[in-house]
Amino acid sequence: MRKIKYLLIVLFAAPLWHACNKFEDMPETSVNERINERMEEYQTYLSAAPFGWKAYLLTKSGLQKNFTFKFDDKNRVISTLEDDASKREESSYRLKYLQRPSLLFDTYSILHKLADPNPNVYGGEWSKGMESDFEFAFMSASANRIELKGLFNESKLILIKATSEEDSKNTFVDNAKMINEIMKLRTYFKRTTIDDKEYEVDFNPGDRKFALIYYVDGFAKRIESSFYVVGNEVNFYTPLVLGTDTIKVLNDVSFNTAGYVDVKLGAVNLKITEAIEPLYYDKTAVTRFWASGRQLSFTPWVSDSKKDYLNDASITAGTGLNQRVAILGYNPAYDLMGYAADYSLYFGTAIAKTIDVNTGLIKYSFLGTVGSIPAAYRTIIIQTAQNFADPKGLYVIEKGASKYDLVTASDARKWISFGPL
Amino acid sequence: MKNILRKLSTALIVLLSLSSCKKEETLDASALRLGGDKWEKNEVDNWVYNNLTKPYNIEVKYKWDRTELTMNKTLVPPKEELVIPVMEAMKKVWIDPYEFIKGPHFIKEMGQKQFVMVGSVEYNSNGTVVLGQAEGGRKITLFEINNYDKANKPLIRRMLKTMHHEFAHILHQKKMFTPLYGQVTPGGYDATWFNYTDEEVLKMGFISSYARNTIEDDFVEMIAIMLVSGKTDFNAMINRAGTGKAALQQKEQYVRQYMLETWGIDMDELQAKTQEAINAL
Repeated sequence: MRKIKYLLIVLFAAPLWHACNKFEDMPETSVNERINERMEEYQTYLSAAPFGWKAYLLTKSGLQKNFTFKFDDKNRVISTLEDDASKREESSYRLKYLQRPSLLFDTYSILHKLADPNPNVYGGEWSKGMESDFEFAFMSASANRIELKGLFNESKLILIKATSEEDSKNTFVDNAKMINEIMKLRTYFKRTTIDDKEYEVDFNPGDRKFALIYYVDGFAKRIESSFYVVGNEVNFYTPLVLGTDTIKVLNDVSFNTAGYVDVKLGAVNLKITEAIEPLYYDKTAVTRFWASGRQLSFTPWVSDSKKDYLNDASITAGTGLNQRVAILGYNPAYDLMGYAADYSLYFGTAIAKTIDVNTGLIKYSFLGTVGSIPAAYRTIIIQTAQNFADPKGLYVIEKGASKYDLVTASDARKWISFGPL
Repeated sequence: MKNILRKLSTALIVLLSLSSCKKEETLDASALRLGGDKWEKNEVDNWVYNNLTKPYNIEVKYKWDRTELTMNKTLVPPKEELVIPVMEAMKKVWIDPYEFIKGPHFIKEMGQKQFVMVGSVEYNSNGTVVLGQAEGGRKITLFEINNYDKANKPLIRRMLKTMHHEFAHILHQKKMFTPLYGQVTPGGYDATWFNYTDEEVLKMGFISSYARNTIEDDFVEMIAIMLVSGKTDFNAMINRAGTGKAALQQKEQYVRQYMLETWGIDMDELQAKTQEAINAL
């Protein structure tokens, strides 16, 4: 009995000693000291960049914009936005420990325009704007690269230390150069092969989005990310995951005169090639596109990746709101490609369709003009109509609700988009 | 005896083991950067200190601090270069007239102690926007600073009206006005005030559409509009109120009485001084 009592005493006291045990690996400094150290470190990183930082922002609404920031150690920052690379604006910033160490751009600057809830400032939704941020938490930081996440909208902001004035200026030219390279691929459809698997590529340097598409039982699987361009690198905000592979960046992206785009994926060389037909074609899309009496808006034709190569944008039908309106089945014999101003049709062209349900293609023939077309626009408007008359017909690619792209089936080098009015 | 010894030794062991866990720590005020935000003072900070903080104990928060604002709304900070112009106008049109009539201590004692400045307006889901907010007689949040433009008189009047509106809230939060005020147009108050225009509600006996929100808002809208519009414009509004005229006159009477009897302020004089200041901007 006595033994049991002693045992109990020992048992009771043991955990008390045990509670006093320290993990040996704990740092000697306190949490607070470490936070302060970290904050000072971040401050040093920011202000120790004589040529400033190249900054790549992705807002919650999907808008990607490039900035440069130059921080000093007196809470001042000079910002430039790609929209006007000659404009430098000074405002204030400070580092503050919130849930995490955070960088606050604490008075208004061009960065705030994207976050302004008034849609008249930089577009976007009423009361939300482009859903951007100006308060960011540090997610990772080194002397050359800082990754930040917006506290309100979770925008992503990547800062890369500029190595020279020239390097800093490149922030605003790299993307245009990339567009130039990619536009040398002339076709609507693009493909690549990774690990022996073929993918359709949707490389859109205009919207700064990249997607790989593959098909499983006729259903498209799309792996997509917004990107920012540094030099000839395409960097993804969200890494693309293909099975066990994760793609964070495409290196050395450049057009090869042999007619494809060269890409380095780590040690692997990839080719993004032109394709004149889709990897998988949804033959039923045409039946959802064409319905008698349907009205859709249409964009000018793209040829060899060049937007509005006919200069259709020069056309003014009349005063007020000018719109391009396609009226399918305008007449039992034809569809009308019309030009309207203030909701009245002014002129247009008539094109007659035949749908081949077996191939899922739509074929058109040019019938003639409707209304009196001003002489200055005649060539453009007639060519617009004649482009529909591809001898093999047109692919109908469904892009979303009431959104379709029509692509020439013979070479896929011309396409036109339809959307809701 | 043995038992007592044993118990004593047990207690000792337990006690010793407990005390060995006690840690002593010196509290460090610099931890987590307590003691407020710090930044290099510039011209704006110095102006605010010399013109508002030192004489009136008023703090102006123009640098972004989300904790002062509605957490789930999209808002932006003000443009730095507009802080001094706005606060200067505010001082001339709000502080100076009261000071002229009531002497230097009135604003020091009554005035709100903190101004929070926001660049944009705050959007509500019902389609309305918030232009200003007063909290507990202490803090005023001023929105849409970034739209400030000296040449745009209607906008300036609107911003200054917000200031007077919020200050009037503070006045009645300190000393309440007569309950009879709420009996003038008792059926007219409605949380969906935004469905009517300012002109429409005049006929209902309200000086602005927002005045229909609550009795308190009605009261402070009267004060703000009397001051910012001036006597002539205000009387013109009452004269075109038609069926609402009598009610508005009654309300005006209560306001004048309240200001004179509670605060010793002659509204005519305050109106004249405020107008003088607005015209001189």
